[in-house]
Amino acid sequence: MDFADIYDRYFDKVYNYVRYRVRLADAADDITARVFEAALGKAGTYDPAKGNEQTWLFGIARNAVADWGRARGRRAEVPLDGAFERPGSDPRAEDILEGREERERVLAAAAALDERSRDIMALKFSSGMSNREIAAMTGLGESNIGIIIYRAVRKMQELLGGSKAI
Amino acid sequence: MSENEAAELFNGELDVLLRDGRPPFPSHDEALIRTAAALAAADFSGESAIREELRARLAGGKEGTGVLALIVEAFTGAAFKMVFAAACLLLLVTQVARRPGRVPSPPAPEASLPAPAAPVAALPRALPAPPQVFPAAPRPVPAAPVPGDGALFASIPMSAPRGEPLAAFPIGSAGAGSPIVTAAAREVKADGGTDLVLETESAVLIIERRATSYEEFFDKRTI
Repeated sequence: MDFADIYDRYFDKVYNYVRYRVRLADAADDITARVFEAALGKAGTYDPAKGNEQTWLFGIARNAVADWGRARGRRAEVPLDGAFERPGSDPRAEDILEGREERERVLAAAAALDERSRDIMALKFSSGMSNREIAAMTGLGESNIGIIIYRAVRKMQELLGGSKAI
Repeated sequence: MSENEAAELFNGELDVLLRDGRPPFPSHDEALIRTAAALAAADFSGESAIREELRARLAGGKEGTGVLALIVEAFTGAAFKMVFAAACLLLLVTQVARRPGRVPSPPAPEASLPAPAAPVAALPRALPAPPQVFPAAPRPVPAAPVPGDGALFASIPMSAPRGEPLAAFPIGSAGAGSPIVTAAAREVKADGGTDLVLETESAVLIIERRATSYEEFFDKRTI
């Protein structure tokens, strides 16, 4: 296993997953570092028969986020402080996601989801896993995963201003 | 269309979006898939402050430039072996130098002492001080006697012990009031030599004559 290659291929995905989950950039950095440090330490125990590298790595990431949440005595999420304002007919809405402010609004919208939905959305949009892979990882049914994603995207669409804003 | 059917259609289109990087066209719910496209395009990794630092740290540990690797290399490299060998040699030399072994022979000990008389009893009561072999040492440790070697006590001349002829006995009476008025002497065999037994009126004195060793009189200690 070439760990440097794994790092280069998965850093962005893992960071995005963690950022979706915890929102705070500093915490995301800290947790992402722990994920790759743990992965490096466990690299010798990685068994390809039990799943691909991405599944293995995101399993570590999920545990790291859960540990982070437990260490702070609260859920592995951040409050909705500084949450987005609904853009409505804001003429700048079409520029959403193009800058930091826009990314913050996406994170704020994600923070409005329940923890399970946010975990699944983060897995789906940061890793591109199939619903079957996510189902295997989370222990939920594949069709249930599909429903959760569908509802979560709908909710975020509403929060972000609907199709006109996107 | 039920929610389950809508969700199934949407997830199919979402997989295409995530695989190809663009939403399928036409879509059954264009607004929703555009939202999904926007979410998929959101990339926060550029805000990470640790990407390069973490990579260097992890790669360093993996490729042998980390702290642990440096320690391991320090204890296995040629430089460490040389230092270790030098330390062993220094320790060995130090131990040899501290060993209380042979000391330099004192210069002509007999020349600095009065010529010994034939009987042992003729030795002067105050012997001249032996040469200062270890002036700074608080307590010189006696060396094992080596024949012909200049040991620490070689400066004390010792004549070969021999018994006085028995013809000198018995000792005559010293007169009234003397503790020894009569005496008899005889020579008896003992372990390692011969004892001379002197008998007076009230006591028996035994003079031992036997081979001894330095260890019998001195503690032999090694620092």
